[in-house]
Amino acid sequence: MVVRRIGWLFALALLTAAEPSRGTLDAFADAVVEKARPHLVPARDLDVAVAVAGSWPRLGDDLAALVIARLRKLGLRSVTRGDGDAAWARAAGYERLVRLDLDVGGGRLRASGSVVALSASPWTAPTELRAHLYVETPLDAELRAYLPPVTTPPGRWQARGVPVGDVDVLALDVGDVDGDGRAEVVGATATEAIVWGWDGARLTERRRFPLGGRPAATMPRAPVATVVVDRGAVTARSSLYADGLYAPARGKTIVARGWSFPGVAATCELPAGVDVFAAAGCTPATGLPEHFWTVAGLRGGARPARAAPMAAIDPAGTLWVSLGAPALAPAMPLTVRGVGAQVALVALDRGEFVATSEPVQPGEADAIVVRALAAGLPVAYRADRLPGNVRALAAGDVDGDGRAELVAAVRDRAARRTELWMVN
Amino acid sequence: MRASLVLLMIAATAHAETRAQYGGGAQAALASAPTTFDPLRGGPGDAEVAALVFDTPFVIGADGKPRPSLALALDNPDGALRARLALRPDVHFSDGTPLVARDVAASIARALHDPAGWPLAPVKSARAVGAATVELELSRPTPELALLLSTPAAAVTPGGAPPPTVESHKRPIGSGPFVVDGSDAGGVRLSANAGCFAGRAYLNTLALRAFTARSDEAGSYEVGSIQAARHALAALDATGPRRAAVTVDGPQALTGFVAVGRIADADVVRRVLALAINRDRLRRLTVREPATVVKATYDPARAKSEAERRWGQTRPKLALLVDASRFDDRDVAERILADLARAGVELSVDAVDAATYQARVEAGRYQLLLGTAAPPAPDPTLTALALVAAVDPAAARAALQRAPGAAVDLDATRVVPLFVRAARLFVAPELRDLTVDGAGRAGWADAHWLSH
Repeated sequence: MVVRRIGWLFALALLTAAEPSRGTLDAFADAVVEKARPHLVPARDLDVAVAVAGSWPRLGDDLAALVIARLRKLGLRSVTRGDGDAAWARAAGYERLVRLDLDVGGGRLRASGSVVALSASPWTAPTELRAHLYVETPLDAELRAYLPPVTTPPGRWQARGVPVGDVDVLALDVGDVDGDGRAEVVGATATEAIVWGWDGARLTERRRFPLGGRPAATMPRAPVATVVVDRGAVTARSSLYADGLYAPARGKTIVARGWSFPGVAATCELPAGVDVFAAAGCTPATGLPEHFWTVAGLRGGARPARAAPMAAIDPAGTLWVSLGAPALAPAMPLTVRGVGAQVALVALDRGEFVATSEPVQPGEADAIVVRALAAGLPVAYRADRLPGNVRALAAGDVDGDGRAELVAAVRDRAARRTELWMVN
Repeated sequence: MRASLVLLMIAATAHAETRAQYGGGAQAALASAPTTFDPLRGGPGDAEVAALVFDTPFVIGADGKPRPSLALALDNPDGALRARLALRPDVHFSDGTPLVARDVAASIARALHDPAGWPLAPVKSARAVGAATVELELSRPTPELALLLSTPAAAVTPGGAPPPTVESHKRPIGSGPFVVDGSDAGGVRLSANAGCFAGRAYLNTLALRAFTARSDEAGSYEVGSIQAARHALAALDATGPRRAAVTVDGPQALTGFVAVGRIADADVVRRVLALAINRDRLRRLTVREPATVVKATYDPARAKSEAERRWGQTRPKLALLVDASRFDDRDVAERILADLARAGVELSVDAVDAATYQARVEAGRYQLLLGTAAPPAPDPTLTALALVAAVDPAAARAALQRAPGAAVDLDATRVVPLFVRAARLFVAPELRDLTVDGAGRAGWADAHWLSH
């Protein structure tokens, strides 16, 4: 009898020791690893970094942990969480980088990404794409639990445009340039920086700085410019010239090196001949995507600068947002695919937001899409029917009412007309 | 209607404000088979390749006006007979050697001694003054000098040396957005020049091919082996297109013409040609791009009587030289043959390969010539002179030397203009920002894929 009982207990123990029921995310991680496995050989010789990006931090963290656990089981020499930057992974000595980008839509969870081989040898290419990864699964209760309900911050939005003439603006920033305590809008074209001030009903031109000096040895095919207003000084640069311009509130203008971005401590370099910045060329290092078109940080508000959110747009048209504050910052940045080339961050009285330009249809004007800085980056406002393409975005209190606005340079190329649109 | 049967006949539209993607490759049809990389020589296909490989001191901007390219500035005071061209520093050829004033001066000097360099007629000499300045001596005040320095005649080669022919299998060295990887009589393979001062091309690679038949070209577009065709629609009229395409038209500036060679009774032949060719029907039946006919009197009876008065009952026999790699020209030649038969002139079509055609045109070895005159820059005077220069570059040079807006009496030349047409491309909708200029050259440097 005792033996029989012991037999039952043993069987029960075996049953309870069996693998627990596998969830949907486990199966999803299995599918990802199954696709990546053939490209991770010889396993025992490889150090692998895994990077997961998407708009849902907890989902990304859990999937990364599951994928890492499974890859370790395969006998890889080491598997660690990375940030998706191939240059960083290569410098850190990894041989493979598994990148995954999560996307939720149409009732399905999708992971797309790649296995990238990294080499430190001077005789081979530093990175080589080994495989594209793509896995999708329907959203069930388990996965839906990862996706918090998207709530749009309350508040009414308004957008209005003010013409500023035939000015081909490529970059914008807002700040007090003349020391009168009120912010001005500063736009950079390929050849000059222009300061506009709000006179109660319209924007009037206050000042122009010509950008000039040595011509750039190698330019991108389409000109690029950046402009930053900081402590009364304007720093502007155009790809037509080798150097930028630093114009303090008082005193002479001097040459500025590097490219500066609003709210970003780093200055970056534009590689020769292209319009894409390389994070490796930014000093100090900023944790930006490997390559990016533009980047902006949140200025103002109560947060210290080091904890402020930052947003960048990479050349694939993906928005990367780092929420910044330690309590909110997940291990991975939030991402949104298919945005345009312009980005700005703004702190309004009803919350913090990231605004991007977004292409609509060929032949139609762009839209400005404002998303709340929260998990899922929910769309809070969308300004369609603009009279042209959004050439630049910035944020600041332009009209002096004590509240910040988003400012967009909207250009109708055919009519050779630019309007500055204010959204708040 | 199946979506796949729809041919998108919309013009290229303004793109939204997202930036162009770098990468990917494209394959496309050339307007004629490649023969040389020399910007002073060759047919429309050669001109397209040369524009991708070589740079000029000025280029024509989107507003149709010249803007500095290799040049930084042009000091050309009103009424002066001496101009100074300041060049960009730090420009390099694709082989890494610096492009300096000596190269620009030598290239201009080469054009001054070459009949095909007629667009630089007002320039008497060019010399380098230091590394970054070229001094130009002018035969007359030349307010349009920047425009002339944007023509292919001002293209800069290392030391002003003539670039190789396609058959030599040597690679030309330029400073443009593309470098040549390889070539043969059927096509040219190019890749982006990462060191191009005006920015590397968005595409990594570009293969430009000449086809032996219109149906081959259309079929290649249909199956996706080329992404830009020049003859897709015409060949697919019967069966209907199966792959979407966007049409990209250049400005109407290409003049189709027939020229009379240095033959006996050239004046009479020219008069007969001018009266006998029904240009309206020619355009309707053979020219599928946007086109207008050149104003002229169509009087076949008078043409016949002119021919009979000179040759009596014996039907004169003439040969019309045609570049076989230009499909449209072959169609036009067939119509002209029919029109001249009615006027009592027996015409044979002498269709030869592109290289032979170019050699015979330059040597003047033809009785009648069917060709297309492309303006070297968007300017009415240069457009008219290009027509003269197609058969008599010295006359064009002399006219341009006289005055900036020199009037041209076409009746005094051996040229019979037929129609003025635009170059048209049929482009895969995902390939963006491809444009065509007045000379029919596709602007591949700015073309890019929507995603790749």
